[in-house]
Amino acid sequence: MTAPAPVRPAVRERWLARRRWARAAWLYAFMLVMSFFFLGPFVTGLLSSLKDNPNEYPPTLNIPQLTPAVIGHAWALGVQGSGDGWQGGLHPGRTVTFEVQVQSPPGAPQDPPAVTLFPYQPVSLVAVARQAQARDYATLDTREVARSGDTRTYRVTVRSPLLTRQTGETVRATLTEPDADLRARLGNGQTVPVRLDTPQAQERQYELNAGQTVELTRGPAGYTLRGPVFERTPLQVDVQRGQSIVGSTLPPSDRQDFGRSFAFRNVTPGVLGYTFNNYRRAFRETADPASGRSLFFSWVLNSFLYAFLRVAAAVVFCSLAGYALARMTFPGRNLIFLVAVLFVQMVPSQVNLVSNYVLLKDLGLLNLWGLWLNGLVAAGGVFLMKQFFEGMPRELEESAAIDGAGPLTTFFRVMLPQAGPALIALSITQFQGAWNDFFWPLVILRDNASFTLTVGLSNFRELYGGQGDYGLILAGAVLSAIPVIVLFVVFQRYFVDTGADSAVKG
Amino acid sequence: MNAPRRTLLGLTLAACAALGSAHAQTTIKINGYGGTDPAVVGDLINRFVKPALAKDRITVVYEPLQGDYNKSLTTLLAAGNAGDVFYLPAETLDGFVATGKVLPLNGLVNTSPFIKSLNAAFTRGGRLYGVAKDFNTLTLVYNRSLFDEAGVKYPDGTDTWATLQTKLTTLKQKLGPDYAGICLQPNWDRFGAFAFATGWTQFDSKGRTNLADPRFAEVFNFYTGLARNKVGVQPSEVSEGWTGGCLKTGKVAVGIEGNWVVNFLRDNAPNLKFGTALMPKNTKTGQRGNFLYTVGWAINSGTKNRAASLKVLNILTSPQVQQYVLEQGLAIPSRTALTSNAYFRKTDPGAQNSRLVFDGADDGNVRAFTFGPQGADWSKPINEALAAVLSGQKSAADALKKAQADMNTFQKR
Repeated sequence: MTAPAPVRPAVRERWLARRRWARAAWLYAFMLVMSFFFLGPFVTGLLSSLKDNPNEYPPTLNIPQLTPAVIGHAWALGVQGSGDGWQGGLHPGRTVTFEVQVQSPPGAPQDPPAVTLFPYQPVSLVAVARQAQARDYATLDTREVARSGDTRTYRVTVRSPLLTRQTGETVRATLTEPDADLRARLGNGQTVPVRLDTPQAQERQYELNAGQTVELTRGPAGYTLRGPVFERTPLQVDVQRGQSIVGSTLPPSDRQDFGRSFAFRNVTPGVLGYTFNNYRRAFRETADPASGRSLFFSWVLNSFLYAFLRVAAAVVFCSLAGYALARMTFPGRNLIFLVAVLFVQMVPSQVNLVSNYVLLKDLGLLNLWGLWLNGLVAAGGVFLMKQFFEGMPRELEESAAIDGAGPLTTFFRVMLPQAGPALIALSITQFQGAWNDFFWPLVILRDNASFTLTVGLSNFRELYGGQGDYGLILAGAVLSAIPVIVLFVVFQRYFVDTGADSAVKG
Repeated sequence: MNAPRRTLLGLTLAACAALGSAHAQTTIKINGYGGTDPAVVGDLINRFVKPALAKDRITVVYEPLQGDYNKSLTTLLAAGNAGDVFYLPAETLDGFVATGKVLPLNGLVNTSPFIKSLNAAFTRGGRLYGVAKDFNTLTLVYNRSLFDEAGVKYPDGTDTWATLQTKLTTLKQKLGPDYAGICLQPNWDRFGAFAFATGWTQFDSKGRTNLADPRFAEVFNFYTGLARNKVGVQPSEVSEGWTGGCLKTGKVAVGIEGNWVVNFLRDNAPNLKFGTALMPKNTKTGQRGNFLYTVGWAINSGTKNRAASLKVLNILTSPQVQQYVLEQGLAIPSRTALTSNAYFRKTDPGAQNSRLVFDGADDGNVRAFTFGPQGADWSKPINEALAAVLSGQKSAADALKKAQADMNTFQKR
């Protein structure tokens, strides 16, 4: 055996440093690949939910909704249309200008583009009453403002008319079910009669549906109609063969006819209406016709309530039952453990479907509370707590007994305070389980407003024979994933360290 | 009136109302689809049903079944708590009829005002199990810009399979590799309409399906032959899930779709210029083929309120309701009398599509969309054969041979 050639310390040092760097690089590469696989779907969903066409293929990362300059234009157009750069919209009496550049090479038609407003109100989960459309009210004016080479810039001016002559304070209101007069509900809940003081306004009396947002003017003559508030200003620009559209203030949401027809679903979007359009739609377009409240919002609240109830019940019942099974001696203990904890876990929940459903129906509990009752005590949770308590030193209870503590005192004063990690693990899994629960809520919940988020989201899929509105679905899915992600990020320490370790000990 | 007296009056009124309702209030529960249907049916109930039935002390509630409607309805019927009135899809009619939970409506409902083929779709063994709520048929929906650009005439009612194929092939040649002539779903639910045009029938007198029939080979070769030279593409080839998606991209000239595509295009491709034509005629028989997709109103045979349920059913299929539904652009009505409705004479592309969908119901060999008594798996051998040939994995002859073998195995189950 020959001795290894002597290596100079400096060389060895460098070699070691290289190895260290290589190892770190491998580790980081591995972590990046893993996070790509785990976070990839979420990030893709998040990005796609912002796009006009979420199915875009091949998907690009050049998303106008995330481009600062375009967001700036969306803000400015929102301010022009409504004075609100976030929400946008077109309000009565406002003027919006939008620019389009059209290239007309020599020999091609030199005409200005045909610009029109078109009605646009996507069908969503709840078919809300037809909203007033900017096309039926606003006027358009297109004129050439600049020319460089064969490219002309046209400025389109959208004017939303004022329907009242009265001056005074402008208030926002919602039209109610019409009777002989038009009536509107103000922000403070008060319902007031609405007067139509111009012929232009009187023409519109029977066109406006209940639920339409309007602006009123309060003055000496009472409340008069200023005009409807349009959520969108959909604009379409068509050029002739030979011409091409080379630029516009906002990028188009739809291109057809070999790039000669651009549709802008909303030229007064504001930032929320542009970048977060699908998220806003998820809340706005699910308004319950009966109450006017956003169903999506109700679903989120229901999901939180259900998850909270499940966690609370699990913490109370599972720790009590787990402790009793771990440390108390009573006849039939093993039988209870075998049947009520182990066997119950082996039976898939689908088996109980009919029996539990009929039982809950007879109890009149086909609602959130029935759902709660159905999953009140989690057998898995009892098992987890039992194993945890079994792993605790008996000396703790013995010293408590010497000090004169009874079983309840021992449990609440000595054992439960020690059970923090297990309780946190239990809470996290229960919260996640309840939040993502789909099967039972789908079976039990019947009324639109009482759905949990999972069941509600499945509704977005049902348009057009299963061909859903993917923008809405993705927006809803991203929103529904956020609480669980937050939970994981905040509590991951407990997941990895204490919770799992102490849970499986024993 | 001072406050306490007003309260007293209010209490008395409330008590009267409570007594009254306790007296003989009947509640009719309706089960139907989720999605947008709760709002639509809720609107119909509020506008038409409630005012008409208020004096009879009948209230009506709509309970949507989310997710897979057929599965949910089966569960509810088995558990005995399905609605008094429910949607009955024609394609799964046989399975529900077999349970005996659907009330035959012969002699209870006057069916003469409804389109005959629709009544036939809900009739089994001479018994009528549902009244068509609305319906759809298939049409050729085409992108006008692509035909204009290629200088090819739009498809129209005189087209045969051969002339349509020529138009599509010319269009593809003119427009090049980025565009396609027609979107072909490898699926019975589009292909079957062409099959009917040849006179081929889904089941023979013994309930068997004969895929070795030369007429079936003819339609199979035509349908898959459209894909030659990429004149026809599958939706997946343009990264879409269905024909409507194909049209939305603006790269495919023709899609075979029903009236539902109008709303889809309005929402997802608002500036697409489209037109509609009737399905093409088979070159030999000169007949069109078409599917009737329909959902009916049916009554639970176990209902305790049969008379009230019938009243509700009659209102929901009344001329006023159907006219309202039509004019709102929600669905195509099932009453023959509405063929002269002003809505059908409108010139916008959506109304034109509605008219041709309506006309398609009694033009040529029109059959209800159904999979027969064994359920949706019936179409699997056909779908697999179509997919294999359209994607170039098999020759048409091989695929047909395998489909017939699979079909025989399936029908012997």
